[in-house]
Amino acid sequence: MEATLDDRTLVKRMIAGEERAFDEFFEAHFSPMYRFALSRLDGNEDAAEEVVQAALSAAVTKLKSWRGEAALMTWLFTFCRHEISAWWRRAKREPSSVMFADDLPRVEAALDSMAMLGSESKDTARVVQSILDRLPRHYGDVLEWKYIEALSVNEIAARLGLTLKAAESLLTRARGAFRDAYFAVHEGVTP
Amino acid sequence: MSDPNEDDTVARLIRTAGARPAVPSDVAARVRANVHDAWRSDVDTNRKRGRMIWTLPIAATIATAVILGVTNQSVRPPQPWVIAHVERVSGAGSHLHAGDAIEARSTIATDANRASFTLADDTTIRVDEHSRVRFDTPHRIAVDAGAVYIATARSGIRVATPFGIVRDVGTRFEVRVTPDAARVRVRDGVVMVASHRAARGEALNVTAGNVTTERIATWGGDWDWTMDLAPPFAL
Repeated sequence: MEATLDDRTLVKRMIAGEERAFDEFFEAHFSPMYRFALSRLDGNEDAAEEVVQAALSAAVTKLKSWRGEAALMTWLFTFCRHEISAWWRRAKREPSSVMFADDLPRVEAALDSMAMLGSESKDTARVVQSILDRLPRHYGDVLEWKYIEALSVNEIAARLGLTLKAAESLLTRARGAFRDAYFAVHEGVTP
Repeated sequence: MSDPNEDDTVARLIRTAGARPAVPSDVAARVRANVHDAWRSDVDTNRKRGRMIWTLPIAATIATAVILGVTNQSVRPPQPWVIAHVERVSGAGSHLHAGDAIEARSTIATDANRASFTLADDTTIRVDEHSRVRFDTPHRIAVDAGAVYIATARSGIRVATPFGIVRDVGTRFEVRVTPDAARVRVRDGVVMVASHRAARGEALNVTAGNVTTERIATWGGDWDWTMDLAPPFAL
């Protein structure tokens, strides 16, 4: 998936040294990266913290090299994967033999292009959560708030400091992005 | 206009998957502080470099006109991210010297020497002979071999070893790494290794997959090496 205008603007603001941009960057990307790392480090919380810290610290000093050819989150995941591999090497251990659905090359590529696995997969829950983590900023949150926490659109608007109309629009776009991603993979992966 | 059936499917999938796990706020706060340090340092470095690019031609012109051939003006490299300084070195032949700056992600290896370091928050780190230590950030070091003794000015420093990460909770402690284990001796305060806790007068022995606790003395010969690097008394 190509970078969004939001991503490009955010990176420019960060390069300019805007503190608020750093806050937005960290808020949007830390949790997805931590979950990504934690699941690939056998649930080792200390290791996940170490890996994500190293990955983000490296990424924020290389922002100028991000060309926007991939989504910012996808670019950050490459740092994370590198640090995860380095961690396993340092620990002189092999990662557990479990292969996550979203690590399969085909699915990884699909995820990066916001496409998805078939719904029959036993990893559906994991993959759905991966999609939510990779959707543009706030999309995953509003979908969880709406469908899991059962917040009203009014409550979502209040939480994000948006007007009712803007919150409705955000929810519609988030639902559309999720649906497109999910069904694109469903069609692309299943025979 | 979206299809209501497809919207139902979206809702069902998301409900079935459940909420994504939350990240502990203390973890987020620690990582945020360290990543922010790295980002801010990089931004400041780039600003200085930017100013240098603009001012250098002017400076060069003046220098050329006034003292041709005398100056040896060159562009300074970007400012490194300095996270510690060498405070004291014992033994001869060390490549370290008091006052040396230690950059983030640099590795220190001692042979027959010992060295002590201070961080910006006044935490001191003493490194024993035949040790290998990497200074990652102001809040995190990694000990691959040998021993470090740490007196923290505030809680939060983490010491990564091949056997686990040692977290201090405001304390003085030693971490010694051998090929088979990491041993953490606590002189004051509290230290955590994963969910295992050691308080003053306790040691944790950490091997691959096992942690045991034992009582220890907080003074005596086993601690002598740390005194080798202690600051002299000023009378």
